[in-house]
Amino acid sequence: MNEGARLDRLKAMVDSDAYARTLGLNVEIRGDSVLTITNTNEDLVGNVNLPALHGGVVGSLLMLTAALQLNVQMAEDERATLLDIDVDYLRSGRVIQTFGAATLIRKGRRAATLAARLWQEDEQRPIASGRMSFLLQRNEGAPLTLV
Amino acid sequence: MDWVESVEDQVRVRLCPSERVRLSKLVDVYHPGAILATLDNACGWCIRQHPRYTDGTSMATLNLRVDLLERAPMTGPLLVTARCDSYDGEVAHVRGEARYEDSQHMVATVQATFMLGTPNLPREAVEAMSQETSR
Repeated sequence: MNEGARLDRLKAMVDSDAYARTLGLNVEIRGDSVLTITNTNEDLVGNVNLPALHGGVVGSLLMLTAALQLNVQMAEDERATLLDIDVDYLRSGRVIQTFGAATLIRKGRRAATLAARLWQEDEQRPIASGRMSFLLQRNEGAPLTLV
Repeated sequence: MDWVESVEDQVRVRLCPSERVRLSKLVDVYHPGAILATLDNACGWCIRQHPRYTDGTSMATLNLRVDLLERAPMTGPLLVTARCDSYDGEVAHVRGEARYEDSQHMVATVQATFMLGTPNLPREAVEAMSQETSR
């Protein structure tokens, strides 16, 4: 699959995911790497005093970023289901554009492990990082979902 | 999500089926992101139920781990329960789970660590205050 077709597939998956749309998630692709770009807004704030993005929003963005990266590296008949996620919150997330990227640590026949990170103005100062495990199953007939 | 009740050191929060939390148009299960967000919320709220919690103490999630035991079809509301296992004034440890409200069947568990007494003002205000103090 070429880069354009891959990107179309990822965008279709984000489009069919109402929760990802609620978060304002967009996806770009550079070679084999996925970059997520989220235009955050006041509805995603958990601490109104700071204001800071909700922990659930941050965790979900990590989860979706990893899932998109995994989809680039899966066979077309593979389907992924999230098994677990472990999130470290490193800095408070401001209500500004937020970027995400993920790395495939290992992909076997039945499971995959990824690490993801989010940053805002400075990629060297991540706001959160996370590790996720996914179950992999071969089922071409099943609908494609992100997680 | 809706606040349900607090009982002693626990809080209960409900997540109801809706289009916004559906995994996809074709798959009628709860989105794991929505389950995670509800678990995170319940974890934060339950710290306020701890007997040693002082009103107004701010907090920030340090770490959150969620295990999704299975996909959760949107057949009914999920009830998330969270309880604070330890609270020492600096850090709070919390655990919880998400179950179907009717069958009590468990679909996810959570373990989280929170820092207490974290800054609760905009960064600009904190910087201005520290400049004021250093004069």
